Amino acid sequence: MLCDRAATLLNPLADGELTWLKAWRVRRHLARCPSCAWQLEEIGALRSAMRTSLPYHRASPALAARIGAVLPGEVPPAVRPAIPAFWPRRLPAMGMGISGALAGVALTLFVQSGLSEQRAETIGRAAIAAHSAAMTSGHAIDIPTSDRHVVKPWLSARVDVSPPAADLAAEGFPLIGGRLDRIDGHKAAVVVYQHRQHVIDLYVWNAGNASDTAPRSETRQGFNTISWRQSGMDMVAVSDVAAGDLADFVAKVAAGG
Amino acid sequence: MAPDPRRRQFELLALPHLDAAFNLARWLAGNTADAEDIVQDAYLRGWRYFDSFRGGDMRVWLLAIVRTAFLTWMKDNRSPRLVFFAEDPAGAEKTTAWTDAPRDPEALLLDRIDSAVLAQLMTRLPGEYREVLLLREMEDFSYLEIAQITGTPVGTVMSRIARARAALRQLWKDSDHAM
Repeated sequence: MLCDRAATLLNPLADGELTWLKAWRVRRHLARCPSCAWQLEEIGALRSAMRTSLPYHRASPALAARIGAVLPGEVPPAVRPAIPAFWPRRLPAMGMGISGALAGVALTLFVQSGLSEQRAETIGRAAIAAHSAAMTSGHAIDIPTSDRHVVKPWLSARVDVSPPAADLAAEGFPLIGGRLDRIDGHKAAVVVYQHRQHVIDLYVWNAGNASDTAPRSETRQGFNTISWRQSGMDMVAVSDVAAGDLADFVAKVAAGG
Repeated sequence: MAPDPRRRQFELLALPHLDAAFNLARWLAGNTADAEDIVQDAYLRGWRYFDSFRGGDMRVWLLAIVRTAFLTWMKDNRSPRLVFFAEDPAGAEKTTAWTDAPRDPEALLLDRIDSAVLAQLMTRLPGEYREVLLLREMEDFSYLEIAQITGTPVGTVMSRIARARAALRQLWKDSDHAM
């Protein structure tokens, strides 16, 4: 990849908007190009300065009261008699952000059968249930360590998989430990990562000889999940981090970082 | 008068995003009084068009309306102080790349930039630059969500964010605070 091309991809890379393949190509260029690598560092510095120091202006209680007072009490003329109390759960094209990061190149590359939509949904729901149970139980980690050489053997001695457990601290996703859990009827190894103030759980279980599948994303109850199958392992990442950040994380895990 | 259940639903969905709505309006308009008027107008518009909300992310839907309310307000109160649209640079590719030499001694000093200075520099950016940076960094929206809010293609969002960051960094470098 040439500098001209890489330069246009540095911002999307910093924002976690590239497919893992594209991100990998840019990073390969960065390893050889100090100038582009420096630009990426500066973009990161600018982003963190903005995130940490710009004042967030909160609405005054008076504004909420004022809005409550001016909203008309009656049904507006446009209203139709049968208004659904709830709205469709799944909305094509609303995308929920994750598609921006995962759609396009990544999905077209994986032309082989993806997880069926129904299965992705089932796994997504199961992952969210298991993840939030662990978060609220105060038992999020069985073995707290950032050492992959401790986490990986500890997990593979207890579950019939050898999960990826790279420490992605340099990429903004430090490894913080491991845990055993159950998901969708399977005994799973959970590799636990952190991103800023958020916990990311990576569930991994044995998929037998099933072939690889493309990542599928789900968003519900404020959680994002991405599930895929790779090297005979079913994997699902679940967290309350932003959709783009989770996609960035999955790209790094899938690239074998 | 019995409370309208639909109004209750609108309040439940929309009022939790009041801070996000106000923050965007405040950063765009530049002062609290105008921002409050814009947000109030946006909630009234939102209520009027609530039928068109088909689910999905209420924050995205609502902030798109706040933005429309802001643009209307700006048209009605044409303020020479506010420049919303950035001039379209001829060589878009060039403007996104840092033009100074790498390993510049100033590199990464942005880490220690004073928050008041950064906020002040932000106000000097054209509104459409400020807007995408705020949506990205303060609300953590993806490019696709920003595209939905601003009604622009994702590719445009991508290049606008790149140009906005380059412009902000240049302002910082040109200011007296770059030491």
